[in-house]
Amino acid sequence: MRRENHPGRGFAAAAKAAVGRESGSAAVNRCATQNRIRLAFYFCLSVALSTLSASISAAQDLRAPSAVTAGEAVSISTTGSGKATFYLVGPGVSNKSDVALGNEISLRGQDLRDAGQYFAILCSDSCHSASFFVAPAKPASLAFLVHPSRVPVAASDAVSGVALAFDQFGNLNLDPGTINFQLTAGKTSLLSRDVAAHDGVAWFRTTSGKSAGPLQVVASIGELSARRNVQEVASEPCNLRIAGQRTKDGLVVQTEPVHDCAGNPVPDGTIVSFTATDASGKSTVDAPIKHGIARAEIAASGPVVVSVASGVAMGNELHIGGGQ
Amino acid sequence: MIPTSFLTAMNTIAMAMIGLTLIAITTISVTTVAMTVSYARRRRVPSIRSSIRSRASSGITPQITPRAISRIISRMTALLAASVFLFCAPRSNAAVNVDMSVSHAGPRAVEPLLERGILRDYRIAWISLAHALEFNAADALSGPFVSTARDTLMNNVSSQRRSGLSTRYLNQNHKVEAVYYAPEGDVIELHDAADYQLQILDGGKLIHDEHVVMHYVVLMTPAADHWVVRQLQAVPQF
Repeated sequence: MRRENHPGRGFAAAAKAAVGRESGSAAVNRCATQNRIRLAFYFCLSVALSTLSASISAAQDLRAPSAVTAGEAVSISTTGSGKATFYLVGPGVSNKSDVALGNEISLRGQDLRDAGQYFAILCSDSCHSASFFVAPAKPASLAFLVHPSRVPVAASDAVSGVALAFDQFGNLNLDPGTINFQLTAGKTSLLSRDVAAHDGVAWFRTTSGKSAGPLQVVASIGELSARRNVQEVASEPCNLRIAGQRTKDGLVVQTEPVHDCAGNPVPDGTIVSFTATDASGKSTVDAPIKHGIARAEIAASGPVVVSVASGVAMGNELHIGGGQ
Repeated sequence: MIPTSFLTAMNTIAMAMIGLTLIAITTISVTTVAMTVSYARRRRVPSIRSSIRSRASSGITPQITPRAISRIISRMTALLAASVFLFCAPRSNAAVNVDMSVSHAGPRAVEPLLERGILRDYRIAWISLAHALEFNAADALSGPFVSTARDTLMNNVSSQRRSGLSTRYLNQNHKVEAVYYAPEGDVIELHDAADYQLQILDGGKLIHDEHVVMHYVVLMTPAADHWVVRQLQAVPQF
């Protein structure tokens, strides 16, 4: 009512009160806006910081060496700054160390002795990795497998050998080049052959020599060589000849000195079979060669036919009459 | 050979558990049904359910209630599930697939029996390798590896122990080709194009996880009753 009576004053007071109310809400709004701005600022700051940190972590990188030989020390370059943990994982090694980013990381030769793939891993905020291969060093030893240890003479494709080249750390050298194989019996050279290694392997196969005795087999590459011995022994008996005579209890038969077809004396202990056929039937006696000769006593009466064999070789037949 | 025997033992135990559980479930089920039917007949109750219901309503607790039966069966099912898990768990860890080709091997031909033996032993070697490097168990390497291969892997295990690292070889696939088989059969060379998930862990923290394709040159030689890996060397390519 009073306002109505003094509409001007009342309006002014109302207006003042309204202005007061407006300024109060404006202050609240201003505070809210400031809060929003502050929040936006913090948000932007955190985004900027995280972006910066991401960019810093992205700057951490490592560059692995391109060609490494076993046992050689190398270094890996890194970028970025700060500290990080470096891992080297590869054949025979799993190392962990603290490093400073931006510096080169030295890898010792003893950590790179085994050929194969290595992983270099650098971790700070995140992990980055690079891999590289370590190749075998030059050949330092030859693994040489020769078969057999004893071989009959003149046997076709009877002697074989396989050679593999390894470096000083035991890594297989897959491309050692050409390996030379030499076979020598006494002073006679039986074989000299250059064989290019494939997949790290070189091999040969050949016929054995003609004379009994030691056979030297040598594989060589550069100044490296490996030597093996094969004992060549006489082959199957050849041209078996027997002679015999009657005794009061039967027969005594014996061979002439037993040789193979190349003239090598057949080793003692080789079994020779004598077969006697008379009126009562067949009887067989096996006798070992002793001092180069096989000898047997056979109980038989009357006319007898004696034959001899050793392995696949047959000898002559001996006819002994009943009265002789 | 420890992992192999370990896996075999696990599988055997699991198989035995599965068998025994199945037998137990069958026996209990048959016995329960038989006893209930017998009881129903004795009481001249038309059906099993009404028999149980009548016993329950008369205040007599039935000896074998449906709840008891279901409890027994659920326990047996749980045991069966555990057995199946036990059976499957070691196999999933040891997922190593090996395909082998011997058509280009020479100068000596690889016979089918030998091919199977080499494939088996090479697979066992990788299972052992994965086990040894995941759990840093050097004993696993003694059977399948000899000479340089064994020494290198032993060094890996001891180095991992010192550093607190471990390596996982997951989902292994090996395509193996025999490229050389010696005339006397005393050495075979294999080329293995392998792919697997390689995980390197520092303690429990995964620091490297990558699906890798690797090329291995492998030398295997015969031992007393199996083939052993003498050389296992990764190369950039064949």
